[in-house]
Amino acid sequence: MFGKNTFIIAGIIFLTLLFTAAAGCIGSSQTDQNAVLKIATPNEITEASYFGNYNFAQMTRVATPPLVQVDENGEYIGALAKSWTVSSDGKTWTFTLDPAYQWSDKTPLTAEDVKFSLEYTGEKVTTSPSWIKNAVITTNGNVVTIGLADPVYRLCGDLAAINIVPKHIWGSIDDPEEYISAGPYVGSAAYYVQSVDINSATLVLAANPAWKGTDPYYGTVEIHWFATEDAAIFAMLGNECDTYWKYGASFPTGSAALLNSSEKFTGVETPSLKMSYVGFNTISSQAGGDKAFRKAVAYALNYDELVEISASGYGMTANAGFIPNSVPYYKETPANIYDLETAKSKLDLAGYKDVNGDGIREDTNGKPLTLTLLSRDKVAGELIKEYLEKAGLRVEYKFASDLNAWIELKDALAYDIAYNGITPKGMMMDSGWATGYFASNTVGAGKLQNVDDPAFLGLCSAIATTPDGGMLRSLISDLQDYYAENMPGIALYWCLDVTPINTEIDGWYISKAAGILNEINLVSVHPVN
Amino acid sequence: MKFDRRYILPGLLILILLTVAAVPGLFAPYSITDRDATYQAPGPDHLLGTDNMGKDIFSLLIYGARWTLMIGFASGLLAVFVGTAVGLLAGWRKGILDEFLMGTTDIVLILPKIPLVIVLAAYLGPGPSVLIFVLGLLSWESIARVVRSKVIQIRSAEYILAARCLGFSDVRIMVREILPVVFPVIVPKFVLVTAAAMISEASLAFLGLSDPLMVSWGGMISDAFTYSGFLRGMWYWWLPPALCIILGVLAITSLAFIHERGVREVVQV
Amino acid sequence: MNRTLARKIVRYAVSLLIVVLLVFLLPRCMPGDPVQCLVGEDVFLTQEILDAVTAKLGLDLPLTEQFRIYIGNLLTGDLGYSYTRHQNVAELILDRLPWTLLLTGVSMLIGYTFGIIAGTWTGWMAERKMSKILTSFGVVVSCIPPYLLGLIFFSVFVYQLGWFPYKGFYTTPDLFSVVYHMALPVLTLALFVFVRNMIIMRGSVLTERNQLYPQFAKSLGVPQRKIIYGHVMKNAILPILTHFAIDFGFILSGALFIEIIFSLNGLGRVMYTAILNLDYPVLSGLFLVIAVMAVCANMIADILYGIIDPRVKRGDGR
Repeated sequence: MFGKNTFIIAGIIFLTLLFTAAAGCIGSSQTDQNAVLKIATPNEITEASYFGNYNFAQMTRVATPPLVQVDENGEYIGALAKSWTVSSDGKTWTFTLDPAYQWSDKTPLTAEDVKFSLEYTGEKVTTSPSWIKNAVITTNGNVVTIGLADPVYRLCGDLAAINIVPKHIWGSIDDPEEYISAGPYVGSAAYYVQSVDINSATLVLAANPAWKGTDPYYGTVEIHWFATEDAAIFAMLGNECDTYWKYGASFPTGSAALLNSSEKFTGVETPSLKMSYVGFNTISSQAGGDKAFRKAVAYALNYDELVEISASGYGMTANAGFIPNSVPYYKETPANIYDLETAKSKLDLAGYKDVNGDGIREDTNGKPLTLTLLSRDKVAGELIKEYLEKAGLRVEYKFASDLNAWIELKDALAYDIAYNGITPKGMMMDSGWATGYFASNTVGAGKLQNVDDPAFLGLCSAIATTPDGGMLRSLISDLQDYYAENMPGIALYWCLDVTPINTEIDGWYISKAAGILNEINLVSVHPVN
Repeated sequence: MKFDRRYILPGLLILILLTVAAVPGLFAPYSITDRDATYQAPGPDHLLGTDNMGKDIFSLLIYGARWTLMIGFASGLLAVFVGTAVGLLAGWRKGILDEFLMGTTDIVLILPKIPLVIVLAAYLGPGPSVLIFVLGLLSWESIARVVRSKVIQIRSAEYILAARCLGFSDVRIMVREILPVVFPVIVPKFVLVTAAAMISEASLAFLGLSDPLMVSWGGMISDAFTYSGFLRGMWYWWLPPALCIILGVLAITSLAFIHERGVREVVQV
Repeated sequence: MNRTLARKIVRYAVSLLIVVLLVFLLPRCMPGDPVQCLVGEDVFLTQEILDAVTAKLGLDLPLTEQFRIYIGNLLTGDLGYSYTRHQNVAELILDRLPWTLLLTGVSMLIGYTFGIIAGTWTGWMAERKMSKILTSFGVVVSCIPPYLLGLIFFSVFVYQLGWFPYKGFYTTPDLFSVVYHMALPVLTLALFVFVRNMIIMRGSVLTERNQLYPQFAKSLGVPQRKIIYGHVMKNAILPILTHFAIDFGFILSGALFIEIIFSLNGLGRVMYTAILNLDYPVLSGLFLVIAVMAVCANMIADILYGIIDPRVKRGDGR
């Protein structure tokens, strides 16, 4: 018979085995210098300029991280900063640095580097936010304090786009946007940029020997860019690359079916900040300025089909409150419903009747009505035209074939209804919560600026000057009520992002802003044992 | 002259294409606004499946003939019009005018066409009229040259001299007497310009410089590429329009070749 | 002779002038804001930069004055500045030009050599079955839009068969890697050059064949090979030279599509990116450079023509 000891020994052996196995699964904390992770992307680096090239700047966020970054839920978390506080007046921001980050040339990273980078960006980079120029930045040990002239509550959004670079390198470079170098570039995170070659279309990230955080598994991460999206996807499916990444964008939803049919890849769906909508010209259009008309149109749009065709099925039908359910302070509002009969009767009630019996509705005065529909998306534009016509409206379709034409038409308010898309960055621009797309007192190429209602503009400025908390929550609640009640725009669908996941690799972490190309993910990915 | 049997096949093909382009509604099972389930494979309902919007690809192919041929022929006609006018004038009125017109012709010949078309389309915005104008106005130089040499050749012919002595106006002589003689040399050039314009349209569509709302064969290939038809292996989406372009261009150019050879043989006899 | 030369020089000068004028006038005659057209769309700019551009180009001055500034800039090699790319257009083009020239140069070398040889053969042996097949193949290929063939080659030889790399001029900058990466793009482009020249050469040889001198040489006992490749080919090659200049633009635009499909970062990709971003300074600069190259190609063809064909030297050629 077995004694008690036998059981204990067996138990110990079993537990030891279990731990070893578990450790194996978690992945060794040792870096395998020969292991390479290859990422395919359609984001081309057209010139090797760290500050001048937009795509290069996005890719190097993982080598010279900003103070803060966006996590998998869309919230701001620390990157180079371990923690931060903000004063109640929104003017003083204090950041404490994370000691894990050290320059790859063994120089210590200090608060001076942060101060330098912020001021350097403010001075020399064209797209830098305006508050930097008037800010007073002070350092104390590993603490950086930003003193603002005017309160800025959504500072993190700007900070997440400013790379913190080594002062001892960039201090002597006068025009960073024009500065071109094939690398290496000194970095501070788990990886630094070892080389960038626009002839071979490859960016090489090497493990940073000075990095004090968790060791990554892959000794090298290569980013390969391709001239077309198809070539990048072919490279991934053809096993040339391990995964696919595109800045701020989903895997092309039309091709997502390919992931499900391949053995090596699977698509992970995550709610996005992206969405699409139709906006009404509430300023100079008779019908567009009529709330009853807008609400009637909301019943005429076939939301399910729009998701199916325009978003290839990767979207969710939206609510009257406009903003997607993954945005902070979202609240439930009535869902947008497609019901052609209701749309027709509401149009009748609003006075848009077919008086002369030709099957086409006239305006409230009985005069002929032609709605001008503006779109720069071929598929969505055609669908919306069809829906409006089904409701008995005559539509003149203006397709903006390029940005020039679009800007010209929408700035002249030469439309009654316009189809437009909202990007994750745009969702939070200006006062945030998509207000930037509506407010007539802002300007921008992607915006319709179609609402000049003082009530709405007042709400926007109140939001801009309110810190996070209960006060802001109630303002955003009011905003959603405004969207639902007045319908200056109708949300068509909220997008779902598709991220292709290589099932032979484990530990994927998908940031809401940067996708898989984020620091946390690069440290956590490792092959499945 | 005996009828050349080699004309039959390409002639028939062009005739079919023209008929289809003229009355696409007769041949297409669906209209270009009809929609069904998206990304369908070929089947009895949809001969070539459906595209990203659920439109019948076969019907799009039929309707696509119209714009593709239209752009081709319109550019060809424009080139013929300009080329003939320049050639006639230069050949008829020697001297300074000839020098000037032929100089212009040389210059048009030198300008690199596709890059110029791209730059113009990028500045002026894509659209069928821009395409026709640019493609047509850049392709007349070879027509002008052959017309000119032909005019010089017959200018001193007796019947022309007779007409001049009779006091007929220059315009009348050109239209009545010279144009009919020049016509045979224009035809092959016209079809070659047409064919080249069709290929250029397809290439520009690929670069996104053709009007996206226009249903053309080049546009269909570009759509298949944009909306992942290529990735999904939907060859029945992009290959048929590609074949149509190739066959159309082939038929048109072979007409030109046969005609030119015919002319050469006749001349040599 | 001198008159012909003078006439030629005038024509080249005028075509250069037209190109320069076109590049100058297009952004200024476009609907909308000329500053925006010269700077490009979709660029984030401060008012100071816009003012600086306006001042530098003198956009508030009369057109003649603007043209003077523009010509002055051109003469100092200043083709403008890309605000999208933060780069000097001239430097950018100079940086990418060698790669595109390598792609087109090698393709032309292969395409012309084999095209001329094959064309001579198919022309001389026009009645043979092989010759007819080759000719039909050539006609069919010349009817395919270049980008389409590139796409098909990419999907078959790169993705399906995995014989060639997906992108770039090289993996490591050495000769072997460059050859490996350029092989398929060069072959694709060379195929188009090949069929064009074969068809032209065939027609030209067919005409020469019916002349008297080949039969005369044959009766003298000159070997057939020497007649074809020595005498007939030398005479029949003239139309190829005339076409060389026209082809130059065609080949460059072919390279544009090939570079997009095979992700090669040459001038074609620069042009494609500029189209997508509506980066007008780059588009204009590229067009200017390509046009100047085309004019130069014409001049070279003219000179070669004179060397090869003595009839031109005597002044009785056209």
